[in-house]
Amino acid sequence: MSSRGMRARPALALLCGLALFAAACGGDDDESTSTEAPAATEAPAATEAPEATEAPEATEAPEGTEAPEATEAPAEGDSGISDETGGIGAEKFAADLTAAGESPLKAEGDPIVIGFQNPEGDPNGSFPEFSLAAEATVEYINNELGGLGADIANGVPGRPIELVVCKMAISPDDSQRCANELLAEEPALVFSSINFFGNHFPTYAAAEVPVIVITPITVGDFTSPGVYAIGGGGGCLGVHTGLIEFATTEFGDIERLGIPWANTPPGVVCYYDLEKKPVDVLNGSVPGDSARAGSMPNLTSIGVPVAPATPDVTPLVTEVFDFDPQVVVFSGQGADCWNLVDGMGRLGWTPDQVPLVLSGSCLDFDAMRAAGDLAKGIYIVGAPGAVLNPIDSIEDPRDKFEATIYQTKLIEYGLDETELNKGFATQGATGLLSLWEYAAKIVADGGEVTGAALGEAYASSAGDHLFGSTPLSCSTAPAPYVAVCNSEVSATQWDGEKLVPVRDRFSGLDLVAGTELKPGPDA
Amino acid sequence: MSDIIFFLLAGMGLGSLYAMLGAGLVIVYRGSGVINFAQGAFAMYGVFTFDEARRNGYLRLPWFDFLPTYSLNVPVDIKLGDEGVSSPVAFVLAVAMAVMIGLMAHFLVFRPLRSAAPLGKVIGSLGVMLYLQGVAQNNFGGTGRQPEAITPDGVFDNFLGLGKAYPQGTFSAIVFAIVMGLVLWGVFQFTRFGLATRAASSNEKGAVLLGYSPQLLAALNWVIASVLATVAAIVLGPTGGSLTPVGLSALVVASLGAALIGRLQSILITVAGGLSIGAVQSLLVFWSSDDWFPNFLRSGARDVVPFVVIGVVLFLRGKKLPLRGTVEEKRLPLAPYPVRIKQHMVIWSAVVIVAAILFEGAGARSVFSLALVTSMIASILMLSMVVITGYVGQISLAQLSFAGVSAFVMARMMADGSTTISNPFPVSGPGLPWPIAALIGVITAIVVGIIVGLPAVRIRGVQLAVVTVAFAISLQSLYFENQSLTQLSAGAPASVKPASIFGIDLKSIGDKGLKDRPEFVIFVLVVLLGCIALVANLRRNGTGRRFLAVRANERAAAAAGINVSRQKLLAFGIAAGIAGVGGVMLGFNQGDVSSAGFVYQASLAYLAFAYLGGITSINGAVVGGLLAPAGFITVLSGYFLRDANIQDYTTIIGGMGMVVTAIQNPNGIAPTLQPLFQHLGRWLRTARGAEWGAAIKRLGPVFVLGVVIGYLIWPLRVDTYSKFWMPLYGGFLALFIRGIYKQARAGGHAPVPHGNTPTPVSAGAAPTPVEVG
Repeated sequence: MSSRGMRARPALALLCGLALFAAACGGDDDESTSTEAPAATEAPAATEAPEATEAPEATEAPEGTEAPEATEAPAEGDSGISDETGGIGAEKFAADLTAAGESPLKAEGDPIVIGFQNPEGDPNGSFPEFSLAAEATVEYINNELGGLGADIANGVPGRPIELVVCKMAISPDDSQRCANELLAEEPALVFSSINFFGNHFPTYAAAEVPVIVITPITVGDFTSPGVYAIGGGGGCLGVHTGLIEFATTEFGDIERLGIPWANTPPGVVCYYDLEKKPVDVLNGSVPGDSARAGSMPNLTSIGVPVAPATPDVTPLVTEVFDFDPQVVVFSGQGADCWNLVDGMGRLGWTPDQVPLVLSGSCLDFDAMRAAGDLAKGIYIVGAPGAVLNPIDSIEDPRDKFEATIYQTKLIEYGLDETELNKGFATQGATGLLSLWEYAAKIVADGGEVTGAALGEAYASSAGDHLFGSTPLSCSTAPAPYVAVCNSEVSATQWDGEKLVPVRDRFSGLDLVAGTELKPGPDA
Repeated sequence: MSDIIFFLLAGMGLGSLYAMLGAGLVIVYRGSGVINFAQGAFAMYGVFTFDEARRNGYLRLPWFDFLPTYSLNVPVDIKLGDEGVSSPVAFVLAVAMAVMIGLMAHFLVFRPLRSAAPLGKVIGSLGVMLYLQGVAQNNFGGTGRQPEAITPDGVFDNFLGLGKAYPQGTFSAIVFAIVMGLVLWGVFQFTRFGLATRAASSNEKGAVLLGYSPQLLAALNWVIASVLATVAAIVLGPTGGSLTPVGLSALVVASLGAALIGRLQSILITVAGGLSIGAVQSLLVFWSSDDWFPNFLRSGARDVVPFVVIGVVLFLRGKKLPLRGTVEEKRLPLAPYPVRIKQHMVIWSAVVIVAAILFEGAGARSVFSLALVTSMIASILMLSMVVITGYVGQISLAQLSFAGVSAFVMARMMADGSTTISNPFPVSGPGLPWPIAALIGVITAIVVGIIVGLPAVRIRGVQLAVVTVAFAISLQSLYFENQSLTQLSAGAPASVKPASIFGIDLKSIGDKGLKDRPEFVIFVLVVLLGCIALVANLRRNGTGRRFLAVRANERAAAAAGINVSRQKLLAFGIAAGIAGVGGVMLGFNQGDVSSAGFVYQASLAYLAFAYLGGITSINGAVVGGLLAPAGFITVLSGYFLRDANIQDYTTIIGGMGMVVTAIQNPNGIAPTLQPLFQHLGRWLRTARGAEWGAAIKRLGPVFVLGVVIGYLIWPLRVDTYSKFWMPLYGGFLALFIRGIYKQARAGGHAPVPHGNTPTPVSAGAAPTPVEVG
């Protein structure tokens, strides 16, 4: 009879302060068919295409599941997937999955316990799609990809994953309860999907259990040692600077930029340090080392705070429009983004009048389709979300391959189609598949799959392939954001049905180079 | 000036929603004397029903299937078609749903609570709110919905010559609210039904004598309020953008402000009040981006408006606000005299200490250490509710806010400009040692508690509850989340350094990362025992007797020479102090404190569990602590029912538990369990072979039958309920059903009357308990 339900609207507010995560899921629009390793990066031996990489006719379904439609994987030689564009290991990943599609490899041996801490079942915030996608991905890995440490090319299975999911309410107590419960299971590594408190890190840190943050939103997600935030764009660090970079380069020499911003505790610093400050660097009012510093002396901006779950945003939107902006940028939690779009629409705005650039955290294909013409033409920076696109509409080979895997395999292993279309679900899959890739690397290098080894593998990543996302580079994380592993972003545009690539991997971090931290208006 | 006018008008869109929800609150209050905290939840379920039917073609019923199987299931939804139904059909379905919810609320909850103490009604409405939120979460999902607007979506360019575009939808919403307000005013002013309702509201006994049925009138008013909430949310909701189960429910606070402006009597003034609150909020948001606007007010200006309105109205007019003249209104349950406290402290301390030692490094079972700590800290917080609500009868929904004040002040007093893992931004502070920092924190909480208690000098009961909610929300915005006051950038938590005493490290986290250090468990235990001793002594001495006298009858207490105002403020101070101690311990346990831990909904949850445990007794606070979120019972349930997905139902069951407790057993669990345990203990001491045999013969077959049924049901279940626990669950369920059956056959169940129960005993069996209050 214990209810963990009752929690805050302000907690919801904090929750909705998700303003920051980057729903990653990257894709490249490089149409190169080269499969050669990049010149500057020596291709590891393990990335050579295995022998059995021919396109399978059909994917064998596990017992008790309905056979899915055939998974069309690109055949060897014409896959067009390269490490250069997809990140180190992209070729091997595609080859392995293709081979596994033909000859599924079951995991064997003692399971490796992986923890998964996820907010579920609380009316104040529940994201079951994270864990449902992770569970489906684990089934896929255990049944077809040979488990952790498998050598697909040589048919050597690895150990199965035992995913222990701890469902938590949106409360600091429950966050620590879950950490304690998961730690008692002695996991090799823990995934933290999204957490609004960050008070679970010390527990894992004391036990030296690496934590992979799927959706970074709190300061702890960005700065805690032993934590690896793999969400595309690395939260606001990459996404907010990316928004400014994109808005100030894509639409000519603009002079007025509208920046409604998520008025949450993390949102304040993300706005002042990573949106307002870059604007000031560009107009020369704040000194910086950026190559573009002072290059837009007439650039001005208006920042309007938008509290999460604000019931009626039209007064706020009116304030933004009074500024007569040439471009509007916004980063917030999905519902808040479409709340803002709705409010703008009710004031007569359309995307062709004033371009709107949103962060990848806004991705919600159902909401975007429901918004109709109001969403058509909106730009998304951070999370290309290519794996969610209709497969037939995707041209990029890697995007197409990974979208095919995502949209067929996860459904095959029990993920509901409604959940499949959510950005958080893609991130759940991304997290587990990255684990699988690193475990395979560890074994290929002669190591043993342990928590420490996995943590080290993430820590040393530099431009590594990450399923459905921009590459992972934990080793180059800038201080104090030592946990941010993925600060590159991409830009896409919603055409009413799918996201169309506009600009491939780029970063706006240069805009804050050499500047002082500005966490608030007074700083 | 034109900007000011424009933003005032722009805010009236949201204000129209406040107005309609406020009107619903007035209707319910006049109809049944309940301040319905679930009014926003009614609106939420109605508009979600509308949207779901129109979008997906489903009618989701307001209940749930706790035991989903492949074959036998409780129907929870009705498929209306492969595509969504038309808007008119969806509208009719939503209204029908609203009628049903209104009737269910009246007949299942508030009719049985018609003569309950005010706290019982508050708990009932909170229970309904939780229940609807939980069911909506399961039926509709927790993410926001963006219902399609049925109002015009065009724009008035250069509206009223103010130079700005104005949404036609907002204009329609305002017109709708005003027209609906006039219609409702007309209904209650000029129809026989309205006259009868007003008569019953003024004097229920008189209405009965005139031949009206107050309960029938109440039922009709509940239906009207529910339908009004639904229609308002359908028409006005889309102006509010994305709708969530909790977000819509939370609008009730501003709506309460509107209703109080209307003195809980006038629908027209309430409508005007709602529109005004929305307008002022909008203007403050507009002003808050100006340079002249005070920095410390920027983050919470909008949230503070309802608090200011509620506080001012209640302080100025509190005593003039109408109280419903019910036929009978029961008091709170008795506050038992604590006896044999020392013996119980010794016994239970030994149990906790042994458990703490056993659970350290005990693998999966080590989680019980943290669960114990969480429960003990929750018990401390609930003890503060025992004092303020159980002893003095003041309903405070801000106890966790006092805890937050204490924790934040303590953290700031400990701060020394250094950074931590969780907060890379330095926070300045004097760097005081923990005992002094904690003491300052608790003292600050006491001061704030006394200030918040000032309105209690003039008001009491549910109205005070409303004030404290508004205070809690304001404190959240103005202090906990206010970077200019806390120096906490980017939502970073305030770091709390671990305590130590006589060289013993009292940090909560062990070397292996687990929170299972016996030293910390014992530390929390000692603090809890200190608080229990304090409350027990308070209850025993003259102060406690004066508190109970005030609770029983303020006028009589005053006539007896008791300074009622002073007692109330003293109680607020003591309760805030105890809550402050709880906040300090929360800080030590978590290692840091963040604003999200002290939101007002958390106070509601704690109040609810304190009520479930028994809010008038120390034992109740202890039992409530065991039931608290992330507490011992939660963890125990998770341990044994790992795959039962029980968290999907906890909110619903929690809400139901509150309602059932408020109706059936307002004394709470602790006083009820105590005689059972005593009986069981006596039986175990005296039972010999024959007695055991007879018991097995009597109960065994029923238990086995339950086990078999549980075993047979298991394969049918669609979830992953444990194959072992399901039969066991069936066995105990069968025994439970047998007990109810026996009780019914023995003469029917007689609900425990409010406030007239045999005196329960706190912290031990009192041979001759003293009945006070």
